[in-house]
Amino acid sequence: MLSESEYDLLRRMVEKRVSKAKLDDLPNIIELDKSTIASLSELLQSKDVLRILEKREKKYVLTGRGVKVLRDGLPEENLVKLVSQGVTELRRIREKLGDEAGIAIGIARRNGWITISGGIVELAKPIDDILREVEEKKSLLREVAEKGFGESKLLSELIRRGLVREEEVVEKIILTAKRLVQVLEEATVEKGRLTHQDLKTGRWARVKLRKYDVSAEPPDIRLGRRHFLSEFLDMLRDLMKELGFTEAEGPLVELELYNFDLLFQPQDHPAREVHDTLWIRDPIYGRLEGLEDLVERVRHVHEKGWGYKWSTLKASKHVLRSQTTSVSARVITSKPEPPIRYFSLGRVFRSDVIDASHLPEFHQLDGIMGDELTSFRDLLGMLTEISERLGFRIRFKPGYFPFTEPSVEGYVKLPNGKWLELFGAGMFRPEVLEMAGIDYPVVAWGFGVERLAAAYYGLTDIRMLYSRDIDFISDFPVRRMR
Amino acid sequence: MPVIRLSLEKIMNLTGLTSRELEDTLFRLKCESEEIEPGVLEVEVNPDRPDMLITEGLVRAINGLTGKETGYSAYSTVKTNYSVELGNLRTRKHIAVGIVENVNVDEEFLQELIQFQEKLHVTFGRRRRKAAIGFHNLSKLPCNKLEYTYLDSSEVKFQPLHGDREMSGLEILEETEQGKLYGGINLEQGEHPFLLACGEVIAMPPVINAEITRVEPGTHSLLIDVTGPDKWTVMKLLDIITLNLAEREGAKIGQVTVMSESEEIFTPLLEEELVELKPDYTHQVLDMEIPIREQAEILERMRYNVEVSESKLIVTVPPYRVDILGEIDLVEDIAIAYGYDNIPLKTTWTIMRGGLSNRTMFIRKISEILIGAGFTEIMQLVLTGPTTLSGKWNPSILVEIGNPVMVEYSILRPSLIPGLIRVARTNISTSKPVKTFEIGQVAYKEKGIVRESWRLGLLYMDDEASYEQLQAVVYKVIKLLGIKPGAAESKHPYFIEGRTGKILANNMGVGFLGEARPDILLEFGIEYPTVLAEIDLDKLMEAVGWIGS
Repeated sequence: MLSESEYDLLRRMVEKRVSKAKLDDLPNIIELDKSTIASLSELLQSKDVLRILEKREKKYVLTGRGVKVLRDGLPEENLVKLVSQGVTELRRIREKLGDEAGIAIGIARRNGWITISGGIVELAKPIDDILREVEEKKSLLREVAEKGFGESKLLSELIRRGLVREEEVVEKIILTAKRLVQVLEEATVEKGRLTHQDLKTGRWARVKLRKYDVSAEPPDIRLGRRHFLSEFLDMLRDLMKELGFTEAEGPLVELELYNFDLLFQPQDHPAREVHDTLWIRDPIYGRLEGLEDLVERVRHVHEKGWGYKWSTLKASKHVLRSQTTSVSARVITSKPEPPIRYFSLGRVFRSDVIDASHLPEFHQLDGIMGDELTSFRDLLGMLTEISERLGFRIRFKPGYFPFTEPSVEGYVKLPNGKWLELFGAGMFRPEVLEMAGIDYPVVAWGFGVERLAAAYYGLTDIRMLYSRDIDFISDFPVRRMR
Repeated sequence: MPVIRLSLEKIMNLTGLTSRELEDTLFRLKCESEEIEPGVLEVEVNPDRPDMLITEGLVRAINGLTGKETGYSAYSTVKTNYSVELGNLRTRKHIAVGIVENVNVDEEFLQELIQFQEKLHVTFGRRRRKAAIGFHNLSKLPCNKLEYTYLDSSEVKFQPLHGDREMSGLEILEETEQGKLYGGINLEQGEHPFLLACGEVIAMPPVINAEITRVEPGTHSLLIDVTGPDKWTVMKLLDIITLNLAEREGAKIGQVTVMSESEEIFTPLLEEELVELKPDYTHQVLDMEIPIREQAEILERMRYNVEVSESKLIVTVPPYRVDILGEIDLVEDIAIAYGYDNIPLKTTWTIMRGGLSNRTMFIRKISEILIGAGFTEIMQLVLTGPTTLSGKWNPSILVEIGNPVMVEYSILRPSLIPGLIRVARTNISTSKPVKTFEIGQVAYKEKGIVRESWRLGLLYMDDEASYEQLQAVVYKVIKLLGIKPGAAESKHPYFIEGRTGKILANNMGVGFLGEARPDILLEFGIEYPTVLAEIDLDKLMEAVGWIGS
């Protein structure tokens, strides 16, 4: 039984026709790194495929000092060179040579190269003779450095001086113990993974796949995912479509006309004050061109109903829409032929400080339904239908909105047992229909999506719906919708 | 919505209901209630019913709904010899004054009276701008001849309520808390409205009353003044107050003569309004056959007086009901008294086709493709701020909010790119590559006009990330939509020059793609190469021809 890598080593040896080689030479021949070859050879020796011979021999190598001396010169060499250049005062020589001065003087005197008297050093031999002796030692050092041995009697002196060190080396020689071609042919190979080549060449039959720890944890992966809030919004859209509603759209930067006036909110209504509605710095006002008839109807109804002087300028003011009912207002002013069923789902803006249950911007779903005989019962029935399709029980409470009468609030029971005020709803007031210019009743409702979504997903902080953490979104647990 | 605190025991005594029955009944009257501490009931009242902001009004409505008392009972009213003369008036030109005798103020009722006044100020009175109320101890009034007029505020002197010394009107405006809060509403060229009795100041509306007529426990009878710039609001407010106080045992309303140059009226007006209701209209709105007699009976439980003529109901609306504009409002009251829970639900409707917008369907397809490419969707707010935009946008194109709550949510994002840089920053420590997309609205100004558009933003961040890696994704998206992708050399403030492409779809420019500039990445602490793209979905839909329904 061979492992995949053992098989690979032997195959390479066969290809290069290697039957015996030094371990040091093999990496170049078969193009595998030395440590891989060394460990695989040991394994193959235990399987009697290869043999490893060890040859021990003595070897000399330069010590760190030896390397330095070869580069910078022997201390005694440097000494005599100084003297021959005229630096003869002992004091100055010690300065120049530093730590090496003592060794240099000792050796030079023992060799009979110098004499010292009265603090003055003099050469006792011609400089050329001395340098010849020096060169003898240095060439020996070079020889050791290159070849690992040297025969001269001078070697023992260099060892004593700590320039050369003796070492025992083991040289490994790899040789085949069997005919490798045959080994390869007969081998069963154990592998980590099955490859295309295994299948293509038929090798798979001789391959034994290594047993896995099938219960080991796999690596974690990140998938591309739709955002869970986006899925929730789409679920709501599909729900509305199922009930026969058509999706409508409107702008985020809206005229007060659609956001408030058409919804019969008097121009001094508290909801229209600065602390509730966000307005645009520039342009402060939008355009009412082409809406002259509508504007006149709105003026007439407001002045008749609320008894004040209605301002066209105020109605043309830009606000960030505070409710998607502005889209419903746009839809009915287009005077669609009944029966009508429309919904819109979009962002609305409020003058709220951000916290665990408030966002300055959130989604709202608004729906309207109207026909000649549409009644309050249609509204209560439709709200119940929507709630039940979402999996909630609904409870009605009379409510108040300036633009609907009768008005109703729908509370739904959450899985945690709490009642959430979900729907604001009602029948558009006759005044609203008159402003829009339609003559059939329309029921309307709206609700904020984020609080419902947070409750649905069990999130306690609404801000988590807008997390920028990609892992949080990508690993968000899948929920069965409806 | 206004919230009031009342004595639970008192209401239970007056209605004969248990606390549980009380909660259910209030729920049907649009109120949410909760016993927040032993004996204290907190009630949230809808803003259309200011008459229910005090125990007396609340009990009147409850007892009607439960059938304990019905109809609109005539309140005992007399004309008194008190009068108000109108002097030189500017904008706050309307006043109504009334008297309620035998109110018998005790400690508990005084608290409730103050609460009633405050809630009316905030809601119906629009923070005293539209109307303000003053309560006076009738027996402390210097005399029965009152005058309401504008006077030089620096010359008029009196001791303000709870004040320790006499002050001039101007001092009150400048030095007291009330003066600073409400002094600006009616001060005109140094003149301010004052209410006087025989020359002595009893009120400086809408700021403060005088100490002299302070209402205290033990006060028997009250004189009430209401002032404001709008006559209807002023008159209605006095109606609401006097009719609520008159609910107290033995209390009696006294009318005061208000004299102007042109007319003489008696306030409170207490004018009842008649509204005709055709029973068929109720049938039509509610889709329910409620016999005419039953409709009449229900309306009486809602405290109206009703006369049944052959084919219609003639309904007397009590003066305190300011929310009744027409017959539809009566129908709502019928539905409320009938009980929303008792109305049979409609459960079947004609089939209609329904449908999603083109944009929704387009976005779904694009998202599907990108998820297939391993991109995760991110959702961010349209509101952004200077930190995210980091000074890289021309202020003249930005749509800014005039009254932002927080500066970081003060601008509508002009592009998805700055937000995506924030996403890159959040995810610097997670495993790479980071691949995200965002689909959402942006807004900007073009020639001074606000434009909105839907965009697709893409982000690719890795140890090494190149233009081509994201280009491949963009090209695939465009190709799968059945049109020809392309790119042309371009410039973009966030992208490296020479590595910025204008994205083309059938040769039409639809967006930009490029490698983010290192200086911008490092400004946000991002040490990984990042490639970004932004595509205008409206233009892409146009290029694909996916428009119209």
